[in-house]
Amino acid sequence: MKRPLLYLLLTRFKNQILSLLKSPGKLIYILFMVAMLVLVMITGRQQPPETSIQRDIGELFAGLFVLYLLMFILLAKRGFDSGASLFKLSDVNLVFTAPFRSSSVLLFGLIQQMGTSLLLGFFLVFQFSWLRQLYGISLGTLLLILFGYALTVFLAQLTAMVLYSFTSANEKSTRLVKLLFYGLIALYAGWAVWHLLRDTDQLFTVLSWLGTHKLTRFFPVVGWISSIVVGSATGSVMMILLGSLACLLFLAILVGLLVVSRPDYYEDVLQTTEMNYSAITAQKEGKVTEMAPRNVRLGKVGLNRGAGATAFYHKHRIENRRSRIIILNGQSLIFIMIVIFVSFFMREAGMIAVFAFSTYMQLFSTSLGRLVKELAKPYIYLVPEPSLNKLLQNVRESIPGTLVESLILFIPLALILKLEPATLIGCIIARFTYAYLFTAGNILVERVFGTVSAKVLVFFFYFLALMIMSLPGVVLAIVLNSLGIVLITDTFTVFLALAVTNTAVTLLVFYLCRNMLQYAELNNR
Amino acid sequence: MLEVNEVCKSYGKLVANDHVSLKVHSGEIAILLGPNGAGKSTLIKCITGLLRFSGSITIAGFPNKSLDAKRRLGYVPETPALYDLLTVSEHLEFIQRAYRVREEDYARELLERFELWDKREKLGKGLSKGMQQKLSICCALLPRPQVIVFDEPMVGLDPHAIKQLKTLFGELKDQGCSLLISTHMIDSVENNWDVAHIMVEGRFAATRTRLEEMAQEKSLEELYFSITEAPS
Repeated sequence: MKRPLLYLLLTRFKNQILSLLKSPGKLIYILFMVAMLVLVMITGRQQPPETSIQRDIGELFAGLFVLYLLMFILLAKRGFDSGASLFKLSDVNLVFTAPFRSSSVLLFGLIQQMGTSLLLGFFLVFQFSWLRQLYGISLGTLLLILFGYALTVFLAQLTAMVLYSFTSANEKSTRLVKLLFYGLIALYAGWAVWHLLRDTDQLFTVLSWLGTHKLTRFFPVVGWISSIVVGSATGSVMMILLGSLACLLFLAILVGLLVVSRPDYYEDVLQTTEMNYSAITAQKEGKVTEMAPRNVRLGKVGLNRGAGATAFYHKHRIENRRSRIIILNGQSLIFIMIVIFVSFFMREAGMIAVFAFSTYMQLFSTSLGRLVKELAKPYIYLVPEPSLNKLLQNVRESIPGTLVESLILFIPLALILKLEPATLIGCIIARFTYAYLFTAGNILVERVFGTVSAKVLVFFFYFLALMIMSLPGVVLAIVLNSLGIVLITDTFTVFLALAVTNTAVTLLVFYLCRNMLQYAELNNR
Repeated sequence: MLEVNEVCKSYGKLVANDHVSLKVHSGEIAILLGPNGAGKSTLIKCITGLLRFSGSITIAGFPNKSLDAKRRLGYVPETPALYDLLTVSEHLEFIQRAYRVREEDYARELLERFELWDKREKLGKGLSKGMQQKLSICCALLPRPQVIVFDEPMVGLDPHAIKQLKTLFGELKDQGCSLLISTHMIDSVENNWDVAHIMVEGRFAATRTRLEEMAQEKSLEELYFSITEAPS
């Protein structure tokens, strides 16, 4: 690598560190994260692995494989659409145009990307406590898992870049590579699901068996990375060697393909870099960008329905259709999969514990949908219609998705946890009401703290508001339970109490915020 | 008529608008001039009801946040705020429906005038910046508002669109609309303006009517530079 590029890398790194010291907000955040990390490490290490009941580590390896696979698919598939980039827009403007060899620039991009990949996996470190409790892993193993995650992200992004470079200009080759990519995943998934369904009573044993199976270990990229992690954790030198060799070979092929066959790769990354830059800039400015596919199918043109505030709802339907959000988006599906996955481990704790976890996850997955995008544009404020009407019409499009999400989540959970029909119905209704309770919380925070520009502070108030708003439901459920009042079943009564109270609180908040669009501020948060 | 009385707006310690008052009568064009950060866009956002403020603003006699005022107001923002996944024609259909506009032909007339008719099936995200600006202008004009506020309307427009917009300013003025135009390009409003406000640090540093300008030696441009380039 040329010296100026090395200088750029080091200076950027140094300035990043210095910027932390100059910004009290960032510094407090970092210190808080470090303190949390230390706490997790200490509490994790205090649990002596030899005395606790440990599960088969094969389960963990299977789980890791699934996590790496999901990350790899999500990132690498971008190669079929918009591509991926290892560069920032400043690199495009200043480094691409400078007299450097494109291979040196690629190396610069790769090193830069490695750092980012490692940061992305930081959340894994916080899982130390429960992983140690269940599987007795050491800190070293946890760091290995983090390394595996970073390697997955890194290789997936490079794969996306290569896929885009070689397939974007030719639809036929895109289709062929797509078929191979998804075909391989479908074959493996089919094989794994077949084994899991064959013996549902021994689910964990099969899961553990799958996690250490040769087919899993040899599965391209993710299997090799898992082999390095598993091999290091179990002391199998052969697995480490084979995994590392395969990964290195794959990396060499990818870099070779770019450097030798496609030295002029600048054009391929340009569009994605610009898109990433716009997205990051928009995020910094608090603007909400449309996650639109590159090639939008127009379909039927025209709203054809709606007058006044309902025009927003009919507009949203068109926008959802064109952004290929039929009912649920990808993010919701991922959250559902995470909840189902974790529920496997929580099933002995009972349905209310599983529901509490799913509601906790719902906190992060509930968004304001299209309303949040509308709030960033002037029309929702300008259209001469009553504020409450506009608010309700802008939330309306999310109703079918919320309902379907509840069904998709709880029907499989009912099968896994062998729930009674009444409990299942209770869960679905309660989850549905929580979605709108959280939406109401979002609106409340927007109404009251619309002018506050500190994001951390807004998030703090958001969580505080949600906790307060959730409280009446929980209190009513506890009161009914302690009084021994039962409707159909105990669990159903709890969910019904939650649902009824959540609905009342939601309606109250909507009523209190009815003039939000009159007094909110369209600022640059 | 647009009436702004003693409007104050602060962002923390920064006072963006400091007791600003102005009137734009029916059939009048007022221009807002001033360097970057003078508070022009903030004042415009207060007028259009997008920001909270102290003081009062009325549009055709109605408080600016009332539905009656909103029905009579058109706004062309500085940065076109369009929907990525709606086509050009759907943007106008949406405005037509949301504002309950009954007139059918005006949308086509506007699109043809701004050379967007042949692009009517193009998505918002596929439009160039100039085309987005033209569409944003069409959306603002479609409900035939009585008061129209333009925030830097010429930015990104091609010469044809600039010519069309200048002609349109004259036509809207003749129809009795009140127009408030914020601009950096002093010559872009040419001889159409009736009153000019030069804004510096959140206040009006000077206000000059057209008649005053004609009677004085200093042109509006010279006055602008004498104020904004004066040593502080």
